[in-house]
Amino acid sequence: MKGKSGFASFAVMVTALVFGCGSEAAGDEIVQDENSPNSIAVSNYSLSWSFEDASIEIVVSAPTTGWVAIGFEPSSAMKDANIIIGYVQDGEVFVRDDWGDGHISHSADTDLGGTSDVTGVSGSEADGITEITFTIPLDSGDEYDRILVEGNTCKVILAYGPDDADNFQGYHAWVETIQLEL
Amino acid sequence: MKQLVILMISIAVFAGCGENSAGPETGTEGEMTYTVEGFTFSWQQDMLSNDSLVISITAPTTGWVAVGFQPSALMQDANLIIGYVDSGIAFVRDDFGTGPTTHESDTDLGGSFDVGQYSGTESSTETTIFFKIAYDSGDQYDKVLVEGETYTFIFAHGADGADDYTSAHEWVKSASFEL
Repeated sequence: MKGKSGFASFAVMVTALVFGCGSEAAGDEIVQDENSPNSIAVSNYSLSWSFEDASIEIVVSAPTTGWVAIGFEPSSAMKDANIIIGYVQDGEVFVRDDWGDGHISHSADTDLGGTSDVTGVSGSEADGITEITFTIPLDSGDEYDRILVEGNTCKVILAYGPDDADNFQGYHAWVETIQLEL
Repeated sequence: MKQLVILMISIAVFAGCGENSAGPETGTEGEMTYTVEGFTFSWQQDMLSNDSLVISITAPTTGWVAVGFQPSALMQDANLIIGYVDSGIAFVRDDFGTGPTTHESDTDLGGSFDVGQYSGTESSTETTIFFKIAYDSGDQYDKVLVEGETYTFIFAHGADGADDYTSAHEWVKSASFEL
């Protein structure tokens, strides 16, 4: 029995090794800047945040000319996550406050009967990189948002769309789910 | 008349008891969901590419979860996608049913890894992996899928903590429905 389980873990290790080379990385490394604790990078997706009174300002940047998104506290896949998704088109920034109403789908809070709670929106698109800045309340009171607490660790889904996907739909070109201490 | 009543009652009883008697349900944005005994299989066409399916599978386990498309017998000849979440990181393998109870990764068989942009989440009771596959990957160890056609699916999950691709399933169920 002991030998059997030993073999099983060996097999898994080998698989992981083979796998890491052949496919895109499962679980990209989270890189944290020591000088800037509220800033991380996962693959080429960058995220930084700062607290201000009862809200949090978030900056996301990703190597795409399409949409970029972040989702807080999904229960499974993207379900039950407070998702903020945005893109830049012809210099204009579009950002939507969404809710994961399915495992692989999301809708605008306003379409679900909730409220849009995103303010302070700005953004840019240059050299194939889209950056979106926005502010959300730590507790909006909207049932289609999540309550965030400074210092707490929460599950966060990071994603971006293919180039030119200037919309709020379509499957991501890249996605990662991480545990993040705010 | 009496027979009809009895028949109606038996249908009602049968429908009430069989958790898997209900077909897939439609959600938002064209997301379809099939649920059986706590296992959830959701899918939708990728709105941007139209040549792929976006899929999520959830099971009541902290071990592996899997879906198989078009087995000929048990898991034989099925295109199997199996994955787990370990320390918050999702691992996914593209497998093929090499026998009724055995499967190997497509890449080991000379095929290719054709699961796109995957990730996963895990809670203390549940694991979800989500990913994208092409309707036709071109790999002989995958299945060609056509929207609107009916397929046989095999759903399975491992025991709690079974973060691997090889341990025996704790639960398995098959179903047939339209994609």
